[in-house]
Order: sequence, then structure tokens, then C-alpha cells
Amino acid sequence: MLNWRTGAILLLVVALIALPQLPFGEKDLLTLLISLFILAALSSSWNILGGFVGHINLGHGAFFGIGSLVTRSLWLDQGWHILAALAVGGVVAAIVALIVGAPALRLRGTYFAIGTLALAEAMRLTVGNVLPRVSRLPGPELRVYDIEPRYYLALVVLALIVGVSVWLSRSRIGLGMMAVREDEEAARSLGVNVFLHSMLAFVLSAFFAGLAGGAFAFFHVGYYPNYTFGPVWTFDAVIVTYVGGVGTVAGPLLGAIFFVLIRDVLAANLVNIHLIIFGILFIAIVLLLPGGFVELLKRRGQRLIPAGASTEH
Amino acid sequence: MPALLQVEKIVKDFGGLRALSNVSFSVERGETVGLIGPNGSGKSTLFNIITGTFRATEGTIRFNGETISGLPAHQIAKQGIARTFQAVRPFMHLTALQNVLIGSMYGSRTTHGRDQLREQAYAALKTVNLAHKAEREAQHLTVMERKWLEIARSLATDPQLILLDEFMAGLNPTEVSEAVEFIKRLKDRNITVIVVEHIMKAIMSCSERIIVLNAGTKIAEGLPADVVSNPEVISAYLGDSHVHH
Repeated sequence: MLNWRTGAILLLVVALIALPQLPFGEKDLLTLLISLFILAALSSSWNILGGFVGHINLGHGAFFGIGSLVTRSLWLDQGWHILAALAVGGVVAAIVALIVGAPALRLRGTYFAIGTLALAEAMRLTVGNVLPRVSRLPGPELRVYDIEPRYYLALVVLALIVGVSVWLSRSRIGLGMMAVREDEEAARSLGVNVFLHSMLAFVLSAFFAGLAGGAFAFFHVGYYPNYTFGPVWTFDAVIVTYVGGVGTVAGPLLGAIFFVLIRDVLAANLVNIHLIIFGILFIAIVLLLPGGFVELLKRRGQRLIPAGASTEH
Repeated sequence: MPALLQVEKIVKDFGGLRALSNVSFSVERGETVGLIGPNGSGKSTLFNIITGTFRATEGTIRFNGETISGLPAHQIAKQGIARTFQAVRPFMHLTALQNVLIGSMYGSRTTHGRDQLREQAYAALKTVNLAHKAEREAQHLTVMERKWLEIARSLATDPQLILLDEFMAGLNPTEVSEAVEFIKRLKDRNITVIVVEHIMKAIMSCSERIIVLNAGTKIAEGLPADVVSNPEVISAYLGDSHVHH
């Protein structure tokens, strides 16, 4: 059934696909949108573990870093096709999550957060020491640099992660994950394998962070290898997710739009002031509106629609 | 055929404290058994051991003749043992329907069709009169409704055995008699029940047999009428001075 909401989403998707071909689809706009897609994808991937299962991963940047490092090495240094390089980048990130997850997911709450943070920092420092310079100046690639394929790749990565999030939010396994978030012991008492659900979410989350990192590598081409391992990638994703609405599909997308707009509008005039704005906003949201923008929209919606009318059976 | 649940010589130590010592009993299919005892006598610990939340220090638990002690909690749940918690624990940020759906999706049911699962979840909500609040998040339900939701959620797993941990605490007399009727009706659905309860009148009227724990030891077992007149039970509850020899 095609209601207005699905219609609006379809229209948006078609517009995004057609955009580079349109007269106003200029390079600046595409660049802005690529940053948006990558940040939205990264935040959505964090949300799978942090929002659905409730394990706060503060080392998420490491998986973004692994994805970008592997993708760029295979694509630039080994001459692989970008799609193959991207896929392997995601898979390597997922494998690392599988190895790290076995001990890390035995930790709970703050301990898991601190453990993952420490792990990511260790990885960032190691990469920085082992690969101290830009691996090579990608002259030939930059000479033929075309923004369009970067745009479409980032869009596809975002579409994939959103698709998986939508599926999770409606599937049995997604419900099981949310049960783990709400109450592990009660979830177990109903037959939910808490470790398995946490692990699956962790691996999926890392895989998509890896893809986002790969899309970033394809887009940015020249940067220090440890740059993508930085904690800023983790904290941007966390802030974006909470501001938009943690544990929802739309939350990370709304948060990313808001974040990128504020950052790019303000950064032009006042350097880095967006960080202060987002810091304050983050605290305000956690304290006053734990559901983020999505909660705000829901409340408005409830006021517009009389109680009970919105439920479908 | 062996008894549905066999608890054999269970010992549980927490550090230096012995919470249960050598507790044995069995429960037959279709029975409703009351488990009583003063605070700290080990009732909840026993529930936690049967459901796999705690591991017994010694002893074995068999369900349908198979050893389940040592299995992780989620596997024990899949074998057909459900429980409620002393402090009510629904999934607060999920709707009533989602709460129950998780039970029916992950429990021991064999049906897997999506529509069928939804129907079953609705049916489970109906049995506790919560169908009209299916789309309401558990955090917006009253304490009583949350209790019933928790029951519906555990029944949705299609258990053979359900452990009810102080379900009637805090209920008014009308609600208590409703709860007693509900527990009695579980028998018609072939569900075996173990009830932990402090309200004597309620537990006497819904249990066919009563097991009494005191300080981690089983001190009596039998028909409700026999158990209440057992001098050891009276002394455990009221102190020695109340026992007339």
C-alpha cells in the first residue's frame, strides 16, 4: 500500500539518484551530500549495536578506519576494482569485530564502552606508527577524479545500511536484539541467546562501518592512514545518533542531516564552533529528550492524530 | 514416565553462605505446586537455579527426564520452562504486543508463520485482558497491567512449566482472587505451575501440593491442609513459642 510516507521516501530516493544529472547538481552540492551519506551510514551502523542492542561502542571509529585502510590499499596499491576492494574492507572489519567481540561482549555497560575505546586508540596508534605517511600520492587517480561515482557509491552504502536497519527493526532477530537492550535476564528467560544477538549486531555494525570507511577512502583518496581511525569518527556517530533518535531507523539520518548542515553553514564563518553547539545539544537531548528528534516528531504526530487512529491492525 | 521436573539434592553456596542445602522434590505434569517459606529461605534462588540464571553448586535438575542443570538460561527457556520475576520486568520501551511477540518468537513453539505468531501474541494478550493496549509501550502501562503483561509474555513461549515469583504481592483482595482463578485455569491448558507466594490464603486455594523451605532446607511437603498444621512449618513462620505440643 502506498501511503504518503512511502511516496515521499520514494520521491526522495529518485531525486537523489537523478541529482548529479540535473543542472544544479554541482560539485559543491555533491561533495556536501557525500559527507552527509558517509556520516549517516556510519551513524546508522553504530546504531545497530548501540541503538538496537544497547551496547555503547566507543571504538566504532576503528572499524571505519579498517574499512578505509583495506579498501584504499586494495584499490590504489593493488589496483582492485573499487567495489571488490570495498566489499573486502567491510568483511575485514567484520572479521576483526568477530575476534574482538568474543572477549569484549563479556563486558557490560561502561566497561564495554571503555574497553572498545581503548582498543580503537591502540589500533589508531599502531596504524600511525606502522604507516606514518600517506602511503603514496595518488596522482593518476586524482587527475581523473570524478565526483559522480563517489556520490553513487556513498549513496549505495547508505541505502544498504538503511535497508538492513529497516529489516532489523521489523524482524524476529531485531526484536530479540531490542529485548537484550531492555533487559538481558528477561530476554534470556524467553529463549533469547543474548551473546549471539550481541555478536551479530556487533559484526553487522562493524561491517557497515567498514563500508562507510571504504566509501570515504574512495571519496577522499589522499589522507594519513590513521586519520580514519580517530575517535572523532566514533563521537560524531554517537552524537548524530542520539540527537536524531537512538534505536530508530530514521534517527541517525535526521541527526546526520542536521549535523552536516550546521557544520558546513557554521564552519564557513566560525571555525569549529559546531563542535560546541553539538556538545551542548547532545547534553540537552540526553537530559531532556532521550528519544531525540524522532521522539519530537512522534509527539507532534500524536497531537495531530487522535489517540488510537494511528495504529493499524 | 518420569516426573516433569525433578530437583535432586540441590546445593547453592554464595561465597560462605549456603542458600540451599540438599533440596529435592519433584513436580508431576499438570500439577500446581506452591513453594513457601519465610524471606531469605531460598525460594527465589531455587527459581533462579531451575531457570539457569544461577548454577547450582551441587545437585541435578531434570526436566522431562533430561538433565537441564548447567544449560544456559535461554536453552532452558526453549525446553519449555517460563518464569516471571519478583520485581516486574517487562521490556519497557517496547509495545505490549512486541513484548509478547518476543515470547512467542523465541519460546518453544514450533509454529513460525509471521501472521500466526502475531495472532498467538494477540491471543496471549487477550487472556490477560490487554489486547486493547497492544500498541501501548510497557512503560505507559500501570503496574498491574505490567504484571499481567509479563505473564502473557511468558505464556507466549508455550511453556510446559511456569514459575510464578510472588505474582500476587501488592494486589488487592479482588485482584488476588482473579489471579487465583487465572492460575487454576492454567491447569486446563496443561501447564504445570510452581507458585512462590506470601499470601497464604491464595496459595492454599490454588496449590494442590505445597513445599516449604526454611533457611535453605526443605522442611515440609504435602497437601495444603497438612502443611499448615505441621508444627515445624508453624515454628518457621511464627517462632517456636507459638507451637503447642
